[in-house]
Amino acid sequence: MKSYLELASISARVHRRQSRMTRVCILLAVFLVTAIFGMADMELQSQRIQAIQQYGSWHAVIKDGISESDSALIASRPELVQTAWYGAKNTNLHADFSIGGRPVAVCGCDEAWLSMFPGVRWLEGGYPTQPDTISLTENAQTLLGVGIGDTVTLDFPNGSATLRVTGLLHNTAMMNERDGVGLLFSLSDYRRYFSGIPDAAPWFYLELSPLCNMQRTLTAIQNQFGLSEEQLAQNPKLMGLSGQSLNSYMQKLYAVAAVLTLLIVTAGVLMITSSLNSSVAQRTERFGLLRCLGATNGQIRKFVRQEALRWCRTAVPAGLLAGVGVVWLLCALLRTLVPTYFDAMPRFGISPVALASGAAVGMLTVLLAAQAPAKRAAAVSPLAAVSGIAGTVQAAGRAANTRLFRVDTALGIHHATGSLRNFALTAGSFAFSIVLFLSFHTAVGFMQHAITPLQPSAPDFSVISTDQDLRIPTGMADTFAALPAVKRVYGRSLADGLEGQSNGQTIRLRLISYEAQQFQWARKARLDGTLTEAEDGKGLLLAYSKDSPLQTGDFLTIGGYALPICGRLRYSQSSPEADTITLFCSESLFQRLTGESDYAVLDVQLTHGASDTDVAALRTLAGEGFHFSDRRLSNQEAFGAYASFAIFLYGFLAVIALISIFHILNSISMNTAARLRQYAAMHAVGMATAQLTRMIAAEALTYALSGALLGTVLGLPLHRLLFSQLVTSQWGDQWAPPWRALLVILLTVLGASALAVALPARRMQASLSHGLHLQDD
Amino acid sequence: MEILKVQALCKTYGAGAAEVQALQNASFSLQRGEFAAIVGDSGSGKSTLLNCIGGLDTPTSGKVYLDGEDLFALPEARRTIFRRRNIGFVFQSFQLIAELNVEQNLIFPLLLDGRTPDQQQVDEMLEVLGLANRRLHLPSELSGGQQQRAAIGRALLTHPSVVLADEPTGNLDSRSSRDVMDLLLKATRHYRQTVLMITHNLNLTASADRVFRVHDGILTDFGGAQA
Repeated sequence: MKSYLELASISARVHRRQSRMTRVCILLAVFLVTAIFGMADMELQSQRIQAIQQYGSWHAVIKDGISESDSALIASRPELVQTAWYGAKNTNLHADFSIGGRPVAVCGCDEAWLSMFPGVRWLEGGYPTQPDTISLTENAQTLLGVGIGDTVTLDFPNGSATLRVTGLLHNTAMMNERDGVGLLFSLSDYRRYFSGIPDAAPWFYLELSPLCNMQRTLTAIQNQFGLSEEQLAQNPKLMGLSGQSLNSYMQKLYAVAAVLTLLIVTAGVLMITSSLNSSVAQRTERFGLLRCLGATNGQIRKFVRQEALRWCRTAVPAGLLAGVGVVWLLCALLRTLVPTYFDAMPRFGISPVALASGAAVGMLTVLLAAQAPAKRAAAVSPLAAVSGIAGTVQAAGRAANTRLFRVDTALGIHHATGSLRNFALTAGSFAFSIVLFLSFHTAVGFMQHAITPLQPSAPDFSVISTDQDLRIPTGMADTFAALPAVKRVYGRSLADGLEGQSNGQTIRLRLISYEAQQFQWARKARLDGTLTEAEDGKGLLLAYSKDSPLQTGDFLTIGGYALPICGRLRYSQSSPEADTITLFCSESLFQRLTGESDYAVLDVQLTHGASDTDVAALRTLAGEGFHFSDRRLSNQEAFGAYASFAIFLYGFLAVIALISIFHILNSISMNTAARLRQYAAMHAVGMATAQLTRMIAAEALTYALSGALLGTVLGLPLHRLLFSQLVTSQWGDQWAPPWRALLVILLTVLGASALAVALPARRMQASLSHGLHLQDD
Repeated sequence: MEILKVQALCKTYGAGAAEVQALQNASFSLQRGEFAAIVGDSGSGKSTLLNCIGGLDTPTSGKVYLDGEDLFALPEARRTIFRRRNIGFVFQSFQLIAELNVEQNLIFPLLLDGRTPDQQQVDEMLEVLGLANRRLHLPSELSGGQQQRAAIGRALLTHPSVVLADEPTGNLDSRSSRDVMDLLLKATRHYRQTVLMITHNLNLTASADRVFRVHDGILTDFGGAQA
């Protein structure tokens, strides 16, 4: 032994349990910060990957009016990572640009643009470097019957061009959904052919260095080249994810993120402080003895800090590892669920932000949190050791209230509330778990609005009739259903231009038929009324519209049939005209009212692993004349965005709930351990173990109920504030108390408290057998 | 040579009706190498006197001079350092650090003072204490007498001018009590250290050079040892 500070390590070895509980507390705090920050970092990365896949890695675009010489000047700025040119026409697939009569979307770009859009990938061949060569999207093989080496003639408003296909690109979600073919020119060919066509001029894309102040750079470019606000547009998603957006809503998001970050850090600090406080409070006599033997205040403070640092040596790395482990687990889940999008995500990614913040919170908090207990320890009078007046627990300032409660319960409540500092820290940390959970829960509302989940009713492939005279025969549904790659088929008939009468008023109608499956999905969109009558063909369902003259319960007469509006659905169906009301009915009623039974749309959901060949088979079976929409890619994009956000968000909530449970278990265990000697004395004078357990339960319940009350009182207003910033300000939804989330976290806190009573009670029973001379092991 | 001088020491607890005068104008002085005993009933104020002399408690008024230094004129931090260099404490309940072995307990005050223990001195002290073969034992593995001997060794190893012992034999059997008294006497006779000991056992005052009695906070000097 070379220094008195070595007592810290010797003491830690001897008092393993006590030291373990404090270490667990530090571990949990570090784990909480690392896991949350790590998940947030990975979520940002995943959103960034998706944003770049879908929208490209450019930050700003100069739409027109920029010369090539000016663009070269801009490109030479040190803040620019790369620049690119890109132009497109006919993305809406009008007939102006076509190959063999089929509308095509045309675009032209330089090779730099392709590196900004990793989502644009070649199936075969490459960038068209030679004049009059092009690349087509792969669906050109089926839709146009052309492939590599073939020659096609493109008709466009200024003329036509004969072009050779030298490359095939993977389909894009947009082209698949619109059932269109995309054609890619080199930039020079694009300019050569379409320079005279209005709105065809290529735009200039800028990718900025993430380290620069993007807004300042863009303002400088704007001023230097006299660009208007309309000329210079930004990529809002990527700018937002880079933390560089000036958009007022993004600013609100940043503020909310800052509040949540602060809450997480505070939670970590609170957990560690309460643990160290409890650990020091248990050892008043020990510090008194050290003071007796001549330790100065400074030495005691140093000793407590040394102890804290020793705990950090194992607890911080363990917390970091656990946090990183959770992040890896969630990333693996994401990669498994949406491999196409998250392949780029590292399998064992390390988030430096999370590690640094976790370690910093652990070390700094421990050192800072150790200040107060160290000060308290240093202030312990040497008399505390020699007089025997300072036991392991703080002296009571008042007597327990045995008039209102039984003595065991009264003592339990008194133990909880006897020391205001301990009560405030313990109940406060319980309350903080609730506040933290509720605060993060506001992001669920944000997710439900900002990231539309893939609805169960979303089709993978649709056959659409665009001609009133060519409807889809109902038999096609049966034909499709027989295919092994088809999971579900459901069609809708549609009738526009109908009229109905209600309350003496004539109303223009669009009538849509539903079969059983669609009625089933519609139940989740029910605003009021019932669906049963409509399903049975005895009533109609109304699509919600705030200007609708109809309400649930009204009667509408169509073609001599008086039918009730038996319910309203939350669908905002787009009607062909503003004053048209959309109604849903059963197939049988639709046939009765219109005499039609064929479908206007036939939706297909495919089985997992269905291939392009299966989709091609559907096209062939449907035959000519219909419009097709292949939404597999866009569905995957929607699912990917939602899945990544949902996984990380529910990951946050699960981690917070888990930490709350462990923290409560640990806190109550520490409080019980501090009083073991006192319990043994009570046991010796006749207190039964059942009474001792009741006493601990009363103490735990006092912390839990006070924490629950305080957490609810503080958490709900904070939830409301964050909700108004995240959701109300953007989508107008009014705040409602999150009863379900509140119930979940309250039950978690109370359940963990109940469990926390059971564990120390069992340990206590074993310890009491050692008699009054208990020492913490 | 006068090593300890106590001047008009008073200690009052509480105020008003609850006021208790634990110590009233206690004054005396001790020479280097003197062995003094304080006797008195429970609650008479003898422990308060010892704690005030040792700087563990602060007197309401009065002075304590140790080797010419006014103990309570020193700021808290310096008083602590002065205390650990000049005063050794021995308690009735030994107050050894449970997780340190005998040798570590002995050298602990030296480590607090930033000094490197002289191994030869430590070995000698362990021999004197009769604990050489117990040096690596934890306090829980020792008898009460052995624990108290270790505590005395801890108090002596820093070579303090004064050793204050509060009922050092209170928890010991007669044989162990004799051993402890022999050690304290050895400190005064061989090392010229001054010992001030509180005891209930009047037999133990036979070895003392001077005996004081405290009754209701008032100190009386009985001079030489009582019969």
